This record gives sequence, C-alpha cells and structure tokens, in this order.
Amino acid sequence: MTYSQKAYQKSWDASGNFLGTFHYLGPMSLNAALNQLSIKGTATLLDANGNVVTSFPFTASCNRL
Amino acid sequence: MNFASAISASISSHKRKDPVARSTQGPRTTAEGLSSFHIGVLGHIPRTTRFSVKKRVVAVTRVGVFPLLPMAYIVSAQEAQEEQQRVPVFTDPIVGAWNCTIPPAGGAPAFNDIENIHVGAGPSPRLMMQLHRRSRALRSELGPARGR
Repeated sequence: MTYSQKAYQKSWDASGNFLGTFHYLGPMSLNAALNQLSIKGTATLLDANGNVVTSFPFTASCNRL
Repeated sequence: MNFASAISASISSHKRKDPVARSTQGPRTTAEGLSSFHIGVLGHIPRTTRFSVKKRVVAVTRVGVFPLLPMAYIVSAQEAQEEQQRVPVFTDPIVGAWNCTIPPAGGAPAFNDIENIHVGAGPSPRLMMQLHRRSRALRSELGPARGR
C-alpha cells in the first residue's frame, strides 16, 4: 500500500533562531503486514523568505510501535 | 409468476386476439412474435387492419413497462440496502505511532524520530461558508454593540 507524503517541518537552531521550513515530498510504502513503513523522497529547506537553502534526497524506514 | 413469463403471457394473449397475427402466418415462437409486434407498431401492416394498431401499442407498452418497473424497484431497494451498510471509514492502516530511522542525508547526521500519524477531516469549505454567513447574519441582527 503506497501513500504520498507532503510534510512540512519548521526548524530552529540550538539558540532558537528560525532556520526555515523543511518540505518533504515523496511516496511512503506500507508493507503487507502493516508494521513497516518505507519513506523516500526529497527534502527541501526553505528559509523564512521562501528561498531554497538546500535540497537533497532522503530515505527513512519505520517500525510500528 | 416471474417477469419473463408475465411478458410471454401478455404477448401470447394478445396474439390470440389479434387477427393480423393469425393471418400473416408469422412465426409462432414468442421471440419472433415480439418482432412481428414491432413491425405492426411501425406500420408495416395492411390498411384494413389499422384498428388493431392501438391494441398493439397498448400491448407493446405493457410488455415494455412491466419488466422495467419491478427491476427499478429491485435496484433501488438494493441501493438503499448498500447505502445503509456503507459506513464512513475514519481510520487507515497507516494510522499509529512509528519509530523512524533516518540515515544521514544533506549533511545532517542520522537520527531517530517517533512519528504519530493521524487521519481525519475538517468541515467542508461549504459548511464553513454557511457557518460564516449565519454568524454574520446573527451579528447584524444583534447590532454592532451586542455582536462583538
């Protein structure tokens, strides 16, 4: 079962300065046993003005708790 | 009596009364009899038998309407039953808490993240618009001082 992920994550540094917003875009696949999730896609960091700071591919694997 | 037998009974009873059906020496089976009915309605019959066209129209109408009405009732009854059984789903297999491992990427180190995934929906834009209009109408009805 495949889902489509479109997620946003606001980020701050250790001093509390706003770094920007990460945009995560890509498919998420759930296995047949429904207990493992595979995520892949592109992560793009946009600063407070909406300028792209960095963009890179990412993966993640999750286990159901 | 089921629909098919009702139709064939209607056709055969009409054939017995119809002098044209006897005189044309047409086919005797029900299916072929039905086609001769249609020919009669379309006007390909001798001028002397025009009096029977009305009967033919009535018979063809009966044949056409009888099977359709009960089927419509059956279909609508089935749809109503399915509608009752159709329960909204407010969950999804992906819902739950997940422990995600994210390998290093884009200069960031690897890290683990606990994700809680939910499903749900807010009110539709149409409903929000109706609520907004109702609220605005209420405010104007109460007046500026009481509406705040």
